Amino acid sequence: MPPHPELLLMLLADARLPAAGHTQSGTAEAALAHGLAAAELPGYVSARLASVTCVEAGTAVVARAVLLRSGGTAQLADVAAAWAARTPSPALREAARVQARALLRLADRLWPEAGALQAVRELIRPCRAVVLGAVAAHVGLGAAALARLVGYDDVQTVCAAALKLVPMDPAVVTGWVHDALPDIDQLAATVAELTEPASIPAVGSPQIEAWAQAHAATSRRLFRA
Amino acid sequence: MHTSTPTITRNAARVARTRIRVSPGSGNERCRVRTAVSRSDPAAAALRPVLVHHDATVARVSLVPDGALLVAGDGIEVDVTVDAGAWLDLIEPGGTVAYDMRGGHASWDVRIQLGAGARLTWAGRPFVVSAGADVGRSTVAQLADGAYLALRETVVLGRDGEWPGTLRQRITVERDGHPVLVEDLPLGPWPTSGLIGKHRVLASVLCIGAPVGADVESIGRLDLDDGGVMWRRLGVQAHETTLDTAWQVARGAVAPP
Repeated sequence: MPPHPELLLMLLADARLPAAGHTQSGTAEAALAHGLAAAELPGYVSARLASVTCVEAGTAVVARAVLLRSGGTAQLADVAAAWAARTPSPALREAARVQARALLRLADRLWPEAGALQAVRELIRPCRAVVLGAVAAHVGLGAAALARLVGYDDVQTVCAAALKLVPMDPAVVTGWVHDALPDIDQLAATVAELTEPASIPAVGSPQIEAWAQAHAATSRRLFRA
Repeated sequence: MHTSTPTITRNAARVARTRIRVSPGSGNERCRVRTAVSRSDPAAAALRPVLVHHDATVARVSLVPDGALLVAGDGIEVDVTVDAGAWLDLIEPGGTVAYDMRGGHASWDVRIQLGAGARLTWAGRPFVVSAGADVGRSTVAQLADGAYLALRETVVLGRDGEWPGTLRQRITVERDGHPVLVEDLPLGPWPTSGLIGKHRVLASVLCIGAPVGADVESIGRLDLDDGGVMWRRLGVQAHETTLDTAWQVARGAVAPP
């Protein structure tokens, strides 16, 4: 019997997953270095959910949909191209591709038989959202659950990184995550029904992109991105 | 692959469409410039294309506002076509102000089609979205392989000392039917609009199709995945947020040698 989808979701959302999550701050390190106050992080998280994270979640959902209707590498490449056109910052693209490599290595180990992952492997430098979409297609994770995973992971990434950068009460920060849950649900509702690359949300954040670029150029950093 | 972002339908009360088409002249003749303005209502404000200069290489056209722009109910449409081998240099005599619309809205939609080897340089001036304004602004650019585009845009949220107005700005650039840049920026006075941080001015310069050296003008530079460069600058004052050097680089790269 295949494992319950809830258990697979827990596995994929777990920060202990060896998929390079600990190297990421969701650009929070750069934001804090450029004057964002720790108290503004809840607003920062919500701006991400409305912009760059919405692009990631939409990309993952569409990649899953494409693979479930037996799309191959060519169709998946269209999804990856739509994501790249919606991600103008080279630093953010690089971070997503580095994470994709780690996640793909792990997925190969866990699901060596997955045909969906074969299509991803044939892409040149896939992004993380496409790999997640392929994993979801293989393990039977639904579109809304996949979108929630992307949103939740992003919020936790920012908040966990913030705790390492600014002395704070972890319970307060967990409260921020809790308070962002309705926004994550809204994000999932926005993207869950998407099936076409052209329909992937394209909301950008010039501020987050500028911070991400500045962060990539500095050597004084704890997190990679 | 179909990637076009549909133009926002705003049901503007008065639509004014400006069409410009530039084709190369035969031999050493001057290039051919056709312009037209059509209005759904004789009172509609429009952008009037004024031919400033044209020779065998370039047509320079100024987009001159005809009437008070931009107020509630205005629908401005600009269709620009540059045929293979021609160069259109678009200029604007001044910036545009979108005024308080008191619950109404306005739209500003640009469609660009560039043939193989066609060049468009468009030095947009600041677009100011006053408090109370509500504007949908879209740019859809479809480039054939080998077309060149340099585009400058500056949006300013609110006049000096004013609350920001509401702006939904979308841009789609495709080359040979493939997406190069797709961006949607819903900006406005709401508190969670952290998309541009604590700034009110967003300046952009886009350069597609022409090579730009990897070490040229690195400040604010975003190298797009499928080729092309976008420079971005966020600021508080429009006169300090200009990207002049990036514009010189982009325009120089797109202009014929």
